[in-house]
Amino acid sequence: MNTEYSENEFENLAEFSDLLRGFEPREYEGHPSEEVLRAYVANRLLDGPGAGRVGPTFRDAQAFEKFLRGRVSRWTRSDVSMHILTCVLCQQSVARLRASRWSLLASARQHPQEDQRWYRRLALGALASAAVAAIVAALWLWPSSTPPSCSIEQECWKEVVHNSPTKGSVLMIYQATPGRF
Amino acid sequence: MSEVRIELARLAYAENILRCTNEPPEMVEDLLSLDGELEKARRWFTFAEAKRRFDPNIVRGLLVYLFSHYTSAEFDPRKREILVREITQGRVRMRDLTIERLAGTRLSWEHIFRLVGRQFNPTREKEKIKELYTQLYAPVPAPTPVEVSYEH
Repeated sequence: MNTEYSENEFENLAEFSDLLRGFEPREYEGHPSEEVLRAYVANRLLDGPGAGRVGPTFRDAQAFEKFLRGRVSRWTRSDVSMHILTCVLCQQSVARLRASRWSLLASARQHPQEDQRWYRRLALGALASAAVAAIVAALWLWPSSTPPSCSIEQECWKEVVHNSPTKGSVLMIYQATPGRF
Repeated sequence: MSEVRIELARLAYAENILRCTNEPPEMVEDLLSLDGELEKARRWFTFAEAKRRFDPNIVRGLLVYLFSHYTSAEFDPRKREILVREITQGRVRMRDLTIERLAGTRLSWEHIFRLVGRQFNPTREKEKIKELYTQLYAPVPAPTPVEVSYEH
């Protein structure tokens, strides 16, 4: 996606622009703390108690009056956003926090990729080793030629097979691995 | 001072419309027009009402564009770059945005479409908002007086 800004937009909504004019920077007595600003930048600050809840600013006249006086008791996301819009000091703090957060996230995204590559290599190596071992075992177990004559006397085997509850298995093992009993 | 703060309160309300955390317009009309700027408040209420009647995400998309272009007179390329990357990577949704975060970023419609999740015709949607405003708040024309003749 192109990150360059171009003036050539086919619709600019300029007729609504007067709704957003007239917000001059001003001096405030109180500012949100560094912790609140960090929470705001990390998108952890909510509008109200719980995600998607309506904020307290417009809930009643008292809360609204507090907002008008700029004396909020608990900073909501909107309170901080409006404060930063009109406070140069906090604009600088947020720009700094945002830049450092971005570089932190960028570096954090790089490291897991390297780790992932390392783990992927290890997993692939283990898988390949297991596959090679399975092939070698199969080749070793596979009868290469006609089974030689039985080293155990036939009569004896018959007795073993006859008495064994797992005679089928025993017989199969015997047939697959001749000469090793 | 108070007028400025009411202007900010209207803006905070507009931001809540974007994040779908706004009170219904009828509940805040008195508070948001304390400075006498009822028309301004009603224009924001039209967006809130449009969200109820039309596709809410498209209305929110229009707001994102509006905030990103007209809140700040200064273009902030660094801020824009960070936001555009986050949009491209799908790391930000409309409910995460604030007016402050959008101010000065000058997002293109391509970015808005990415946020909304689909393309739409901004001109047509804007016209729908304007029509809704007329429908909701245009002054009702006074009835034409009926001419009564007393002549017999």
